[in-house]
Amino acid sequence: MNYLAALPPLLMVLFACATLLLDVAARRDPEKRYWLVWFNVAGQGLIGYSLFRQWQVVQTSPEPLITLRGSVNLDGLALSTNAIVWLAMVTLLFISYRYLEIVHENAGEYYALAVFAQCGMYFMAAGADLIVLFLGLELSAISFYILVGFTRADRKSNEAALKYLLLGSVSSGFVLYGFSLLYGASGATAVREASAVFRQNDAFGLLATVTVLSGLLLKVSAAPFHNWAPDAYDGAPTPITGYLSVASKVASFAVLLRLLEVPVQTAHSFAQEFVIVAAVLSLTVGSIAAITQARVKRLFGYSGVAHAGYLLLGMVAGSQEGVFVYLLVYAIMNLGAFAVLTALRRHGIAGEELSDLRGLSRTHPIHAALFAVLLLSLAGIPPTAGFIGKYYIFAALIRTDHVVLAAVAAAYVVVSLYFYFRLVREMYLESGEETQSIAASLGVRLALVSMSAVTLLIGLFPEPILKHAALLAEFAR
Amino acid sequence: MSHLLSLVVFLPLAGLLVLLFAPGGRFRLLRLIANAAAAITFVASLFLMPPFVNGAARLDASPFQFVERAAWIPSIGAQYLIGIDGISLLLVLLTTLISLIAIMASWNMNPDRTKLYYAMILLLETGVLGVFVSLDLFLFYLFWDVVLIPMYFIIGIYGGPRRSYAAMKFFLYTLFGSVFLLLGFLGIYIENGRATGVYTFELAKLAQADLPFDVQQWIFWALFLGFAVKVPMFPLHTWLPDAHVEAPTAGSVLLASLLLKMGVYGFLRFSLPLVPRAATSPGIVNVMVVLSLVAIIYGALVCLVQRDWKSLVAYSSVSHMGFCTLGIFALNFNGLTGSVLEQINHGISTGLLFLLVGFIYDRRHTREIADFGGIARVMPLFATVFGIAVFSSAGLPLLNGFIGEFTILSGAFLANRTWAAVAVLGIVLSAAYLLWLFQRTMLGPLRYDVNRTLTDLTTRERVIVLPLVALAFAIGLYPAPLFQLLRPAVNALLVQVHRP
Repeated sequence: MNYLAALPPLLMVLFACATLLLDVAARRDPEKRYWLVWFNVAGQGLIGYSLFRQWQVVQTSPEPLITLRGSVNLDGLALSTNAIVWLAMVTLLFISYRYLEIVHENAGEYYALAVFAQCGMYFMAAGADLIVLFLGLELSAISFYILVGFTRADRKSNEAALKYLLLGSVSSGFVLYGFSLLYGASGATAVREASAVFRQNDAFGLLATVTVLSGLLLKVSAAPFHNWAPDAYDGAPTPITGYLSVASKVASFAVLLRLLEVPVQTAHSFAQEFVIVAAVLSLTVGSIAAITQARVKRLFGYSGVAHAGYLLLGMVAGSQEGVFVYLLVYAIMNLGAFAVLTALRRHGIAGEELSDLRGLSRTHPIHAALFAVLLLSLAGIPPTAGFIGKYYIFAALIRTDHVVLAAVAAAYVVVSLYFYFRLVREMYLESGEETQSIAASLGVRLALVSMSAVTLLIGLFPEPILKHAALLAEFAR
Repeated sequence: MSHLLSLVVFLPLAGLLVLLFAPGGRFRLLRLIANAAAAITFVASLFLMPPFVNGAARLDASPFQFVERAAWIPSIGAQYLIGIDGISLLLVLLTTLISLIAIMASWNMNPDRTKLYYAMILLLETGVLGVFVSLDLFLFYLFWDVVLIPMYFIIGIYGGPRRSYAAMKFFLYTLFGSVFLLLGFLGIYIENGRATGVYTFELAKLAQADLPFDVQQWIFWALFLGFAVKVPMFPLHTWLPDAHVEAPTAGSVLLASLLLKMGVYGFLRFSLPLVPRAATSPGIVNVMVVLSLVAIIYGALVCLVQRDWKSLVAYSSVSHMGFCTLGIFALNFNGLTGSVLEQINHGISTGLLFLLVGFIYDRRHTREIADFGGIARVMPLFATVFGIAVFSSAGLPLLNGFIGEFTILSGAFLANRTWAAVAVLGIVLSAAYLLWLFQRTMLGPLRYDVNRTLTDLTTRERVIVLPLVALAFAIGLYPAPLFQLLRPAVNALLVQVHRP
């Protein structure tokens, strides 16, 4: 079991380093960089297989699997998070190549850094020890700082990276300080013992709760700590925005869930209220701000804040299943959407304004239709996966007698439909000035078709997913 | 076990799939596929009738027939559970007929983007049919929201100058209602699950739950938001004129004849049996009746000042739907039966009115009432059909409209005489605005020379209006079979509502 827990990160590090070396070898002949993608696809195949093996072993194992000298905990939370991160990574590989060519930044480091980030997120998801968790957080964060600023010639990208770096460091500082308090009060770095401090009814408990929560809420881009997200999303290369918005958010939620558990268990009702306020604020700020955005990725940045709000509400309602389902669904529909947005970047056209989508339903009816399905899902309209995610959150809220919160959350579905349908309006209702082709590579098409098909499939037949979520929630305990 | 009902519901969807894989540029082929799909669905739905009538004779406890049940999402207790009683059957037949007529009415549309257009109408048909046959709350909600999407595109792409605004307004309003509908459903689902330990969305099981009164109350208001926006009840009706006026002819017909019925149907099928104590409590009944009466009078008064032909017809829907909700909250046999009849009749007569407005708009490209006058001289047949539609809508005896309104009024009279008195005023007003409309457009001298060259109804148009005109007479002259069809369903509903 020990080796199986260590296998995926080992493979990640190996492939990342090998990619760097191969990149040097390919420096003379840039055409060969194309093979780096396939090399990494093969790597992800192996990593995916090792994650799948973990899944098989864990399902048959009677007790929770804390291995590698107590540093890694392979429970349902870890497994599902890693599966989602893996999915995001594979999608990134599929949609990046053409984009990087177009922005003239085709370099092996891109893939290596993305895999390093994946490795960091592996430990964020599975870490059973505060030190391991923090190292995972930092490894992924540093990789992301660089990736966000990867288009060096683009000043916006630089600015975004700097902003993300500064605010991200503050968040890391908060988390680390909180961890030190946990260690100080409990004398242990194992999550299981250290997290008991959150339930202590004293100043230590309160301070630790507030610092850790603040740091992690920044990572998941929940209001009022969301300010970095729209800028970083907008400035980053589009495939990275997709990767960041899915993988990083999911992994950060995993840390949050691991530390505070579901329902938010602390001695202080203050923590519960803190999360509620953050959730409602996220819904409000995210939804309202998204209405007025003219740039697509900023819109997605703010809508991501709103999605964080729903997820936090799921935590408040204590529905581990709900949070799992929502995270998975969120990942799938967002990855599909970012595949489309990536294709909008064409030679000479930035493709980042809402109006760049104008008339897409005429020039690319299939792309437009699939994107519309994804947008419906993001807004949470049946029969799509997004609805199933929202359904779980609402049901959990009502079950725990948070009827008012449920009503607020439901009302924001309407707002989110409005801003997502601004994209649909551009695609379908406005007529385009000129026919433009979009840079839909085979990878982009593959990602788009599969993600939107899965979105519809989950929306119509959610049973398998729901069963798995229940199972995962079962052995997360 | 027959799967005829599922077949009817999903035939339009099958047509949609065929349509999607047909070559996009072949306008005639696409048109043929869409018409064929709608026609086959209509014929298939007719086959529901004879077995239903036969089955109704030896009915035991439940008025539902053609019940199909399959596991769907066992984790949350949602099933694929459909079935029809008399109410549903009538609405299903109305849906298949009106959808066919709407598709036929689009025969000469601009061939640009036809594929999407027909696909959306067929998707809408499946959605509406699903709404009328679902006996599982989760399934119902799915169909309920599916309907919004095609309507958005039908208004938004093929509508008039303010289509984008109208489409969004329609979507936002109705979605706002429907998210609260979802919360209401979840409330029943969870409260019932807590009490019985079994979490299910099955309507029949949930209707047996006896929830505390205050819980029933908030659930009633949550459902109210969902259904009332759709009906639309005053003061949630403001999306309706925009959507109707901007929608293309087929869109207006579908909206008025089918989508509005979903709201009334929701009250009948869900609000009454699920939260009976709240729905029959005097406080709530009074509010609902007052809102209905306000809708009747207000809708009619607004009609009197409309200059646009189409928005007059649109506001008349507000008034007519007020009768439907009044009938429901009279909470007696006549009220409920009349409410269903009024839905069918409104579907027929308002559908006809919108079609005729569409025909004249195709010719003149204006809907200003002032631009017409004396049309009867150049379009005698059109004027005749329009006259029939107007009289039917105004509730003239011997035509269908009278049957529904009279039955509702008798129900209201039994419940409370004042209600009936106010509602009668609405009928008088409706006669006023409709006859005045007829007079201003059809009668008198031909006022404008442009109108001199207008051609009368074409053969295609005659074929389209013929079934509706025939139905208007048939129902008006001999409504007894409808009453017979509705009796078991309405009685079962009354037992559920007035259970001790």
